Amino acid sequence: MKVSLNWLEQYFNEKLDGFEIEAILTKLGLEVENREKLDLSFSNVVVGKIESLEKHPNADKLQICSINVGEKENLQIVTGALNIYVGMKVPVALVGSKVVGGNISESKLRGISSYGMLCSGTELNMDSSLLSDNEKDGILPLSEDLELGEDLLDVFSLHDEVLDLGLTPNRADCYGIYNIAKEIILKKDYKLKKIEFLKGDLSKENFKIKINNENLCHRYVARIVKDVNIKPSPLWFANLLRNVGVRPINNIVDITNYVMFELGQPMHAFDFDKLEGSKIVVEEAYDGETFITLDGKERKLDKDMLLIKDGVKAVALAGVMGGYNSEVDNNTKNILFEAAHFNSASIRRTSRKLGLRSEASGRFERGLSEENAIKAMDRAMYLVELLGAGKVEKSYFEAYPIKQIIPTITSTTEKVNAILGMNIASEEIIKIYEKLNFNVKIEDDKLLVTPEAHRIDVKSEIDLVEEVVRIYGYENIPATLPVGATNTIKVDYKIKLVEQIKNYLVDNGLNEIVSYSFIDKSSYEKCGYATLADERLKVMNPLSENQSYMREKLLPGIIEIASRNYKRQRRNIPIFEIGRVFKGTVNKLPEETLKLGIFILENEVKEWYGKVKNDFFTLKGILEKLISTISNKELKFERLTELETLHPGRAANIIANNQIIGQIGEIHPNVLSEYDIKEKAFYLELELEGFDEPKVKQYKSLPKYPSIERDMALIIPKDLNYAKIFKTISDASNNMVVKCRIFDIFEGSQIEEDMKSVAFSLTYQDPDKTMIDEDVSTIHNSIINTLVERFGAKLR
Amino acid sequence: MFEKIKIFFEELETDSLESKKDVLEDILSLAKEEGLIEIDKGKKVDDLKIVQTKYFGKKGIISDLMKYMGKVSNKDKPILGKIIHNFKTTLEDKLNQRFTVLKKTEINAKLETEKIDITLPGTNSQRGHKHPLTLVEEQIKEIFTNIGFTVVEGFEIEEDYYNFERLNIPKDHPAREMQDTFYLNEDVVLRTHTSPVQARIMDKMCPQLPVKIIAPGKVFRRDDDSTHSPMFHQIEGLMVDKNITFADLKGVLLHLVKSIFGEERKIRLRPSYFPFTEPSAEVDVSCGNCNQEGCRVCGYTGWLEILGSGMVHPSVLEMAGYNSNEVTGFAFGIGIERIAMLKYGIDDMRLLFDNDLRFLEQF
Repeated sequence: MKVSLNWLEQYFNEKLDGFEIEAILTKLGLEVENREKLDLSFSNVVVGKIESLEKHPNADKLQICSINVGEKENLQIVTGALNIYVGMKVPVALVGSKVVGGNISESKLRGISSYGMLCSGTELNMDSSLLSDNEKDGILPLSEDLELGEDLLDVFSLHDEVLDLGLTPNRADCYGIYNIAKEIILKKDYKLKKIEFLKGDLSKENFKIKINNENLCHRYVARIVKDVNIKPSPLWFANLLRNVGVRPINNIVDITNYVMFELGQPMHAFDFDKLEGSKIVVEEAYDGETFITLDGKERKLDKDMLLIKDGVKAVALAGVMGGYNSEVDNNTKNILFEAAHFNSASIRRTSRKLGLRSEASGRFERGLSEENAIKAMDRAMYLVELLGAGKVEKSYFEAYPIKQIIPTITSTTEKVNAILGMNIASEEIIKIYEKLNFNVKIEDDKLLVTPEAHRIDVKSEIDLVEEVVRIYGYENIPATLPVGATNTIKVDYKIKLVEQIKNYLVDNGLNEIVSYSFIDKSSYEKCGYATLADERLKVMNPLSENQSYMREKLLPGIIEIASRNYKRQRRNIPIFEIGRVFKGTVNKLPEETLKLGIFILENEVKEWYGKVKNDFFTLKGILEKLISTISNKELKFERLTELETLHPGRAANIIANNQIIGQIGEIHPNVLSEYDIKEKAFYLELELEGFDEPKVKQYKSLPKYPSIERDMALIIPKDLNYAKIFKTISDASNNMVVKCRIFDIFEGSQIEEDMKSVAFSLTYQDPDKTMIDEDVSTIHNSIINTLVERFGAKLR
Repeated sequence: MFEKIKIFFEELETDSLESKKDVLEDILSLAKEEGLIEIDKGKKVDDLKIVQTKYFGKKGIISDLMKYMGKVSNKDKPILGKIIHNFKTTLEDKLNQRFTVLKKTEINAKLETEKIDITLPGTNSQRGHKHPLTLVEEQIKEIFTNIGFTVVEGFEIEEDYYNFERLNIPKDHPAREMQDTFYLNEDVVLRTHTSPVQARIMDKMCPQLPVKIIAPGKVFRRDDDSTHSPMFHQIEGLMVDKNITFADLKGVLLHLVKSIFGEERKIRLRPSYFPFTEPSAEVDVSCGNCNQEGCRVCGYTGWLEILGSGMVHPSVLEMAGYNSNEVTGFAFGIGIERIAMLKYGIDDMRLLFDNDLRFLEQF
C-alpha cells in the first residue's frame, strides 16, 4: 500500500517529514517497507512546445525541432522521435539536466547541434503501468494548458515522498489514507482536518436494489450522477493518484479510485444508460456462466461467485471487477455509483479461483466496515461536485439487510495491566481510548469501550489491551523475567540422542548436511529403489516437479548433495544427515520417522604416511562405534542381495533385537553413475526410533586370573564367514575364549581356489582359575577339530 | 705398583700396619690418580666398562688388594680394610659419575638421530562440522533449557486444524495469505510454522501449569528466492502460566538476544499482528555491523528483524481448555536461518541449503 506525503498533508495544517512519519507508523505497527523521494530521478526538465520541425539534412530518421521553453530564444533539438508534431507540448530536458539514463549535454548529431532532449515517460521515471497506451509510445505528450518552461517536477507534483506500507491483515482500514492520518495523530499532536461529504436522502423511488444472498452482501449503496462530463481529472488530482501508483483514466473513474485510496472503500461506476432493468440485483452466478470483465477477458464463473446484475444481465463481478458491457466511456452521460459491503471470504475465493486480483478485491478480502460504504459514497459525490464532473442526484438507493454491530467492550485497568505487566493509570488508558476516538463509559471500576466503526478489528478486551500498549509505546514496556512453578515436562530422549549422535559423527570427521524434505519422484528410480513414490506423500501444489514428494528415504537428498560436491572436484565427501522421512498411512497424517544417513566416498589418497582410503569397513566401524556410544544394543549384519541401491555383494541389513533398523553397503555402481560419481561410495541409513535411554550398566568384577593368547591359522572355504567361525569357536571353547581377533585373511595362488587362509588370535580366560598351557591346548585343539569337522578347515 | 705392594706386604711385620700405613697410602694414592685419569679418558660407555673390569673385575685390582686382607694380622685388618675401602669408593664414585655422563651423551646422540619433522600434519586429524543451522539451534535450545524450558517436537506434516484453525486462523481468514501453504490434501499441510506445537502441547498438558516449552523444527512455505527457502527452520517458544505478562516476554527475549549476540546488543519491539497472539510484536535486534549508525546490512535503519512474538491469544488458550481469565502466556517464533545469517554474516540464504562442503567446513 503506497501512501504519498502530499496526499497525507491534505489532512493536516503542517508540512510532514517523511523520516518522522516512517518512525511514527513503525511504532504504531504499520510497517514501512520502503520510503522513496520522487524528485530525485530527474531534474531540469521543463514544458516546451514544438514550434517547427524539419528533416535532418544528413539523416533520414532524425528531425530538427525548434522548441519554445518560455525563453526569448527557441532551443534547437535534434530528435529521432516519431510521435511528435508542431504545436505539441513535450517534456524538454535542458542542457545540464538529469534524466533516467544519464545526463544531458550539448551535442552534435550528424553535424547539427542539439541543445537538449525530448523525454519519454520512462526517462522521467514513470512506471509503464502509469502510462496510457499513447503515452507509452515515444515522447510523453503533455497537456495543452501547461505553461511553457514550467518544471516537470512541479507539473507532476513530484516534490513528494512515498511510503510503501506492508499492512497486516487486521488493519485493512489503513488501506485508506485518511485512516492512516488518524493513526498519525495518535503519536503526533497535529489537528486532523475533517473531510467533506455530500450527503443524500434515502430514496423511496422505484429504482430497486435486491440482494439475494444477504450473507454475501451486507450493504449496497447506489447513487446516480447525471449529465456527466467525462474528461481527464485536473492535474493536482491525477498527480495524487499517480504518486500512489494509480494511472489516471478519467474524472469519474479517478474519483472511485481516489475514494478507495482515501477511505479504503472500493467503488464502482456503471454507465447508467447501459443498465437495462432499472434495478440492481446482487446474486450468485450459476455454474458455467460466462462474463466479460472490464479488461475484455471472458471469465468462466461458478455458483460461489457473486454478480451484480441489472435485472437483465450481469454487469459486474462483485467486488472484483466491473463488466465490459457497462463500462464508462467518453460518451457516457449518466453514472450509477456503487459502494457496497461484500463478504470477504467470498471475494477471496472468487478472486483466487479466477486468478484475478485487483485493488478492490484486495481490500474486500481483508474485510471492511459496513458503515464505510455510505461514507465513501458521500465523499465521492462531494468530489464529483468539486471536480465539476456531473450533477449529483439528491437521493441515494440502498439495501442494508445486515447492519454492522459495533461492540461495546467491557474492560478493567487491572486486567490491562495484568496482561502487560505494567502499571498504567486509568486516566492514561481513558486518554488513549479518547485519542482513538473510541467512546468510553465508566461504570464502577469498569470501562465500557465502543470503537470507531472502521476499526472492525477491535472486538474484545484483548484488542483493547493491544491498542493501549500500542499507543502507550512498546518501548515503554519493562523487561522482566517470569516467576512461577517449576516446569515438569519430561524431555524426549530422542532429542538428547540426536545431539549425541551429531557430536559423535562430527568428532569422527563427518560433516552435517541439511537437504530438502521434498524430492523428485524420479529419484527413487535413480537410487535403485524397487518401490515408486507414494502418491499419498505428493504435494498438491509444489513449486517444481523436483520438489513434489515428501521423502521416504534420505539417500536421494544426500546423494544429490554428494554429487554436487563431487562435480566441484571434491573427493573427500564424508557427510551425514539426520532428518525425518515419511510413510503414507490410512490415518490422516503420514508416519514420521527419524533417520540417519551417512555417505562416504572411497577417496583413495596418498598421504605422507601412506595410502589411505575408505571402504565398507570404514563405514561399518563408524556405525559400530556409534551404536556402542549411544546404546547397549548388539548389532547383527545379514547379507542383503536383493537391493538395487547397494552392491549385491557388499551390502547388509543392520539388525538389532531381531529387527532390521537399517542398511549399510557400497552404493550400487548404477546408482552412482546416475549421479555422475565415478568412484566407489558407501552409505548407511539407520532408523533412530526405538533407541530408548540405555539402562544404566552395572559394574562387573574384573577377571581375577590371567588370560593366555594363542594364534591359529586355518585354510577354510571362501564362503565361510567370520560371524559363523566366531560363533563356532565360542561354542566349542565352552566360553573360555573371551576374544577372537582376526589378523590375517589371504586368498590367492598358494591356496586352493575355493578356500581362503585366515589367522586368528584367541584369548583364553577361565573366570575361576589360572589356566595352564595344557588346559588351553586341550580347548584349542578341540576348537580346531570342530572347525575341521564342520567346515572342512585345514590347519596351515 | 703391584710389585711395590707385594714388597710392602712381604716386608710388613705383624701388627705394624698402623705405623706404616702412610707408605701404603702413598702407593695407592698414585694408583688412584692413575685410575682417575683412566676413567676420564674413557669417551664411550664401552671404554669405561674396560676400566671398570680392570679395577672392579674378578681379577681386577680391588680384588687383588682384597687378597692381602687374609694375610695381615687381625689387628691390621680393619686398618687395611679402611685403606682399600677408601681407594675403592673414590674410584667407584668417579666411575659412576662418568657412566652417568657418558650414558646421557650416548642417549642424546641416539635421540638426535631419531629426529622427526614435527611440522608434518598429524594423521587422521580431520574433524567434521555441524551444519550452522544446528549450531544455532543447539545454542538457542541451551539458552532456554537453562531457564527451565523443555524441548519438544511436533509433526512436520500437520493437520490444517492444528496449523491454522487452532491458531485462530479459520479457513478464508485473510491471514492465510501471510503464509503460502503447501498442501498434501485439503486437510493436511506441510506445517507453515512451528506454532501448531503450541496447540498440541497445551492439549497434552491442560490443565497442568506451567507449560514452558521450545520446539525446533522444519517448516515449509511456497517461496523460493535469495531471501526465502521453501523449507526452513524455526524454534517455537511457549510459556503459559498464571500471571505471565508482556513484560516477561520482553525480558525473556532480551535475555535470548544478549546470549546469542552479546551483552551490548539491544532489542526493539514493534507492534505487529499474528492471529494467535495479541498483543503481538516483531522483535528487532540492534545492528552489530554498524552499531546502529546505519549500514547496508540493516538497510540503514540500525535494526534487524529477528523474530515474531506476542501474548497467546485468549481464544488459543480457550481452545486448548485453559481459562483465559486465569491463565496467560507468551509465544514466539524464531527463524533459525535468519539468526544464523546474522550471527555468521552469511549473505545468501541459499548457501545454507546448497551444502557446499567448502561452506560447511567453515563452522
